Amino acid sequence: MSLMNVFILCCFYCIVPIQYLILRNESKPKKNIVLGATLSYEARKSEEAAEIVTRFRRRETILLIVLTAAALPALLFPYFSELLIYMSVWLIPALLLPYVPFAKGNRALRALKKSEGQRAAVISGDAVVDLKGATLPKKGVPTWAFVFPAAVSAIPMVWTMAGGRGTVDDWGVLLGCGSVTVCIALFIPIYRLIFRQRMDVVGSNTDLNAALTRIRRQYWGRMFLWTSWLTAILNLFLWLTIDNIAILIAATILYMGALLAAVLYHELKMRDLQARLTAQSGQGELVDEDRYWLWGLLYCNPNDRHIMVNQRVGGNMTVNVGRTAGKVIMAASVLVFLLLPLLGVWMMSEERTPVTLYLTENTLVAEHTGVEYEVPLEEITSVELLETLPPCRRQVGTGMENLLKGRFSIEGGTRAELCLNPQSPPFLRVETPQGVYLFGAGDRTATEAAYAALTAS
Amino acid sequence: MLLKLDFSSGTPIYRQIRDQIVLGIADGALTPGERLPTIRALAEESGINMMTVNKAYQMLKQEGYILADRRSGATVAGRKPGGLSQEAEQSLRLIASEARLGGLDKAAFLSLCERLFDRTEE
Repeated sequence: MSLMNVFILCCFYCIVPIQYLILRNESKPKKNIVLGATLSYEARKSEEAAEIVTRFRRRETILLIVLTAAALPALLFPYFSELLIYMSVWLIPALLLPYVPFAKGNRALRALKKSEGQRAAVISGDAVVDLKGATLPKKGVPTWAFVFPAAVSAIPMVWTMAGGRGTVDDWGVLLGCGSVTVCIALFIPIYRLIFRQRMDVVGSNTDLNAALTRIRRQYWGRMFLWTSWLTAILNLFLWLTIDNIAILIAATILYMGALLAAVLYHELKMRDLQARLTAQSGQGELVDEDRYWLWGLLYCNPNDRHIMVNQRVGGNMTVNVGRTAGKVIMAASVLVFLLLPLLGVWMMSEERTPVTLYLTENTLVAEHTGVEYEVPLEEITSVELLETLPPCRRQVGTGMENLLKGRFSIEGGTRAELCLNPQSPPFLRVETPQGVYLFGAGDRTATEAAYAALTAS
Repeated sequence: MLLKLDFSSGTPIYRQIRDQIVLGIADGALTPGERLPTIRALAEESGINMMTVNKAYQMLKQEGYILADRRSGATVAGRKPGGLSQEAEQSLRLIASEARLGGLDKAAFLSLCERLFDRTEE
């Protein structure tokens, strides 16, 4: 068991308790909805509904225990790629199985509703609009509020442009920090798009509908601002501590943790407010849109032109699978999710295949999993055999414990192409007018043989 | 007031919007001077095309039920003098015929009309 195993396990496993918490929360009535089924006040208070909810919670708890036990073997894998394959295969049932009790609970509650009939006037339609609510002013986060974090995020970029020397490191800063700044700037139109989503309508009480909508919009505003500031601060911090890998990793973990905590805090707080505001709702009338929610989970309304819609409970969004674009997005997401284990298979081939180093008649070749680095012998100006690897920073390529492959920055800004196992010295340092190459074969003899052949020629 | 749209209904969407707003005005759910959502807002809230909402608003404006202004948007107009339109009278005639064919006598039909009329605000 290594620190890497613990880290990867934590990264993957954290999804399970979060999902458990959120799904369990779905069993508490909010906006007249319990487990994705719209119920009147009386139906929500019935013994049958309580029994279905208890059964759902029990099943979810059992699943949590089983999934936790199934995740623990991850601590025993010696190779990173094997660990990744195991965890990404584990992730598929871990994400899907908890929705089975949810769908069963939803089906049972809908059957209960059908058998007993709603004990309130049901307002249903393909679209239900609160006319008065739709005229209310929408107060969101002003655009200028996003300008400050974007400006903070742009500091490294501006600094480098003003005083940079055009080295490969400078280009890395411009590219990395520039992308983050662009992302923060993109939050402005995305936030505007989300902000314009339809109102929450639970009945004809406009004040209640408006309050529920206001909560949702405030949630999104806060989340986007939090994310913008956290990302900007991380960007600045990473630039200031760029040479210290340990600090870089720690800051990134801290950032992810803070972001996750902020999302969870706001989501649960919002759900709590929704529950409190609608605790007495659904007594005289209620809006029922259950027919558009498959298993209470997937929104499918071909008549709604929106592709992204609000989840009925909480602050999340989902796609409308009734539209072609929605189907494509959903299918692509599922495909990416199911193909995740293949990433581990690719990493396994990267991790397990040794670098091959050899000389042809007029070329030095380093080859690894189909990627070839060829250096014409006539272009080589100097060759050196190194026992220790100089400090190097990855620009583009692979950086694993036993493989460095791609474009790196070495010795404080020199651009170099690397293809070697850092745990297996010696390393061949080859200089040409085009740049520096650092190669290393899987074993010492092969590297030394290549060096000897090069010096002889 | 809640606007309920039924996409599978034989009645066109713009007509459903128009009819429900007229009913809302008559019931008192929409009061004279009350603002209505902008065309864009209503289209976004209902997930329908802006052209459909525009058509409904144009119809309501022509019939005098709403006032539309570029700056202040649409508002509910006051009482509309002039009785029933020719089109509405035709509809009423059709309903009266259906009532007769359905077996309702004059007294029962008038009683039903009175009840429905009383439900609208004076």
